[in-house]
Amino acid sequence: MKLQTTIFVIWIISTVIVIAAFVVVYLHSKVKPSSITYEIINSRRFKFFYIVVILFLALFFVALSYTPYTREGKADEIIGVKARMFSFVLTKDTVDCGKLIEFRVAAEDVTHGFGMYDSAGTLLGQVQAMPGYINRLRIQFDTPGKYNIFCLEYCGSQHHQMKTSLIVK
Amino acid sequence: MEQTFFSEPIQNKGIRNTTLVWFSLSLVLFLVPAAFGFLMRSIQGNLLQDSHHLFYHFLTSHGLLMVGIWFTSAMALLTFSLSKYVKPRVGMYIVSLSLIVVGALMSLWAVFIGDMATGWYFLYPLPMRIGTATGRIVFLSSIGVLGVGWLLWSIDLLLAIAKKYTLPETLGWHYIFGESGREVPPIIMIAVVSLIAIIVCILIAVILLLLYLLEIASSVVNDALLMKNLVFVFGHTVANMNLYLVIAVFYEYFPKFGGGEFKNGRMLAIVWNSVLGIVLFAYFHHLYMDFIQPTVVQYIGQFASYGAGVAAATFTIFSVLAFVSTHKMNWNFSSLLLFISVAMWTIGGVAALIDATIPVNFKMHNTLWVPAHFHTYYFTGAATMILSFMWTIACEVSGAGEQPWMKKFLLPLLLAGASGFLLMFYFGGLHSIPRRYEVYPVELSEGTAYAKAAAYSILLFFAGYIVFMGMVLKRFLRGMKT
Repeated sequence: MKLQTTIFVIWIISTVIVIAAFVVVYLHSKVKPSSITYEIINSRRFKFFYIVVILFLALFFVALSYTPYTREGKADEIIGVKARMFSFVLTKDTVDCGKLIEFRVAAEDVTHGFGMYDSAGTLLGQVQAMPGYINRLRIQFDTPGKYNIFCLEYCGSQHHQMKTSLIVK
Repeated sequence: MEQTFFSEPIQNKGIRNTTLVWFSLSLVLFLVPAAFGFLMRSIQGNLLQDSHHLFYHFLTSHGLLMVGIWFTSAMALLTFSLSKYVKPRVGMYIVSLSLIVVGALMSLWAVFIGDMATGWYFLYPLPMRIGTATGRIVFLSSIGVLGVGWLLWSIDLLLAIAKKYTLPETLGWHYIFGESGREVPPIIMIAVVSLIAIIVCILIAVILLLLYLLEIASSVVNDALLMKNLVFVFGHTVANMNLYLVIAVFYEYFPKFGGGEFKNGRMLAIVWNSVLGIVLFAYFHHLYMDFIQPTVVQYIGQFASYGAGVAAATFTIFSVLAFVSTHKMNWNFSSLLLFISVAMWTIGGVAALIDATIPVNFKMHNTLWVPAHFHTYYFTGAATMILSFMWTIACEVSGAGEQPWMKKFLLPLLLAGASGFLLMFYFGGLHSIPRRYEVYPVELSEGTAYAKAAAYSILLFFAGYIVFMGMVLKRFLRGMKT
């Protein structure tokens, strides 16, 4: 399952839980108050607090293992990318399947976004193209085909037309 | 009205009438950026063919005006509510509101006449590259005028509080250190924390504007990464403080619907003092995709974003659910809307925390997932809380109650329209549809269908909103006459 679908499912499940909790509490408030007082529930807050903190800490450290910032080892190929209103210039537009590619992304005029999409229209990864800086994005293409690159940072009147493609053989 | 919550603020004629005038204006003004939002989704959904050239102008004004209107309304609501405890100056209140209206009009001029379609966050160096020279100056000045309005207002509120409480008292330090001291209502503590953060971020905006002016006036070229950090510490913090300003009022009045109150205490003081630090560092999540930003800063961004989530979940949201489940609530239109807005804040907050996770952000940032989550917690969360308080105030100043059909028909209508509109953003995020696109490319054509469905949902919401607005305005007018 692609990450976007997993995230959407997680969000839907969370939303259902939140709505269910609010509906149950709402219905409970319409009946005669039970022997459980606000003070009793309040005393359970710390238990809830610790659960939430542990959950977030676990998520935090798991997430750190998957950040796109690590650049250990050498990339198989380096492609230079220059973004400008309203086009991308790549030093190479064809790469071999299975190789680790490092895109060195720069901008000539304003800030742009470099978003790599597969042929099914799923965003594989992105990085910003900022004047005065070079951002390094590494992607390994495991499936041959045509990959589209769209600008993902608003950059002016033709922003939505700023795109190019990359062929993976 | 069976309950009166705002009887003390209503007695202060100057504060009351100024608030009612602003609320009336904001209810009508809201239709302008809302219409821009509708037009944007209509253009994206191919429902409109003639206004394409204005899409990014709508985008810019939509963001600026929405944040401007709701932030100002949150400040007005807080000023009105605080007048129960302290005495804000009516003159400064009026001066601030006047500056804000002038700033908003200037921004409209700059965007549509000066061609400054920069996006609300005017990401450097785009404002130096587009628009007319006059438009550029007017645009940056409009941000300055808005900032001065909010700054003067924030300082005045803090001064009003300082006349009654000391700073350590307002921050609840006597609760934290277990010392004896007088009781400080949560509304005071949360207001002070929020106002301090607002002043800090406005001062940062001043630096940002000065750097722009320096570049305009000389050959100096600014650093794009520094400018981006400055704009987001300002923009992110202002948007979040908007919510906290309303939460301050929420702590004061929501429990009254169940005949109780939220008391200040040690944990609450610790949490809100922590929030002051957390909120100023969470903005780093806007720069995750700038890999040249030091990596440790990116991790701080994720940690601080999670920290804000922990504070919200374990205190405000937990308290609301615990309170409601143990009290016999008076469920009227206002309390129901408030309760729903807390649920929407929670739902949007979960989606925001997901986006604040770096590996997820890598694949979902700058897609429609972003407007999905911030419209959920900002519009159906914070702004809806303001609308529900407006309704309560409208009923109290006019003496007119609500009709039973409001709960049965108006509320579901508003909820259906808003939910449909929001869901289309979430579906867009699922399908990697980029945000801020005038037209979706053929490779991402699902975006067009979602935009069309969103436009129809907005119409549904508008139908409910117009009825609501009419009823509130009628009551405000009656209230101002008495």
